[in-house]
Amino acid sequence: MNIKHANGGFPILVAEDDPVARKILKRTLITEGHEVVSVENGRKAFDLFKERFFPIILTDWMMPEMNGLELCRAVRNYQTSGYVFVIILTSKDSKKDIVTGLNSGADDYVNKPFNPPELKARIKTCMRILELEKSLKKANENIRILSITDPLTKCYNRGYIMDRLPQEINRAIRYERALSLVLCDIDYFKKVNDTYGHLAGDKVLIEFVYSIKQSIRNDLDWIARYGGEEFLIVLPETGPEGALIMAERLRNTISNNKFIVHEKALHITSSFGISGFDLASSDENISSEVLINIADQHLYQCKLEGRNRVKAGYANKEQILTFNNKQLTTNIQNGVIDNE
Amino acid sequence: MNDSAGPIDLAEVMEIIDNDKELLIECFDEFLSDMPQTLAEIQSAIEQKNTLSLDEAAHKLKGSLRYMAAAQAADLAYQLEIMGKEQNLESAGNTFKTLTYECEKVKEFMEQYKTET
Repeated sequence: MNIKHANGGFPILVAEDDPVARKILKRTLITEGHEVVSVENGRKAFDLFKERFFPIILTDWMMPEMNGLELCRAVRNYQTSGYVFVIILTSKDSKKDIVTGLNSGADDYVNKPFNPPELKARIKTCMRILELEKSLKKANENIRILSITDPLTKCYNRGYIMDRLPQEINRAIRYERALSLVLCDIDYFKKVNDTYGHLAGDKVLIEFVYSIKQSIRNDLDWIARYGGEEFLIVLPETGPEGALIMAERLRNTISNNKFIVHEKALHITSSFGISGFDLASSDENISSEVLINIADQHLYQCKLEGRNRVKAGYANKEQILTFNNKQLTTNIQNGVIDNE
Repeated sequence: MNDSAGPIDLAEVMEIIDNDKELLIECFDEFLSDMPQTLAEIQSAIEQKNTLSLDEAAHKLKGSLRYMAAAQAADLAYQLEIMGKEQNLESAGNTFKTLTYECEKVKEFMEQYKTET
């Protein structure tokens, strides 16, 4: 969220019951390029704050209805999208209020009547802190993105699967929505590495992911590197039949595509194992591991049957129980849709 | 006008409003429109022995007077504020009379300034 205005000023909420002080505060801050909204008590200030975020609040101490101290506490207890810098205005004859105010969550104080250059300087300090918070948030966001991204292909990594897939499954169960997983890999990928080198292999992986990203819905579906040359595509709101159509289209695209590596055109093929929800027979026992295992078994079946193919099936109750009892066999004939 | 001897220290108030004469006139207008009501609130609080209202109204007037660099009147408002806080209204009536007189001088100063400017 960009809290700062284009001219460099900030939105500032002023709570002050004295109309003369309110007028001077407003003018002083407006001449510095800030947007100022002023109200005459803490209650009105807090009601306004709940409707609209202000990164800076300048509040008087003694006010009717809700005083500055109560406003400060209310703001600190309210869930906000960013840090709120609170400055309290205190009388010179109430020094002990300063300590109470700072202990209640105010960041700074200004004596009344304030000296304009001093107030401007204090607002600049507050702006520096807000800028610092913004850059820290940006850095944290960059770190978060790095922690869930595969550095080579720039799709999500396995850690992201572990976090996000259970959420997708829970959502699908709760709202009785379809969900499919497609586990895919590049056929004979080891040969690419052995023949053309690992750098060439890396390039093929990048191109492979790019092709997949072109075939899925940007705002809903997602892809993650499951390991090596294996990738998991997650398709919310899509049953196995829909996933099968998507995977078949993708398989066809990949097999007809030329991957240019070291000025040579490589042809590769890929295999796809699909697992999806059978909403009628699924229950709450279904887990990420179960769904991935079913997709993996279908992928394995593709390999057994000669590669460059797609196999899909439902995760039905029997399979779930079998997986959960750790007694999985290769019997995946029931409910399997072949597409060779 | 003598800046420091009058009811308002003009040099100080100019510093507070960053030498913005237009703002000064606006502040005078704001003060003049708000003062009668605040004085009435103080008077009523004293008459009804409502110390909390006296504290709040005197505090508010003190704030405005300090922004207007009206030190003497601000000090009187502060005395009334303390009387409200300490719930001791013994000399509140007399202090209020003096405050009203000082505020009248402040008002005259402001009106004269506006006419001259």
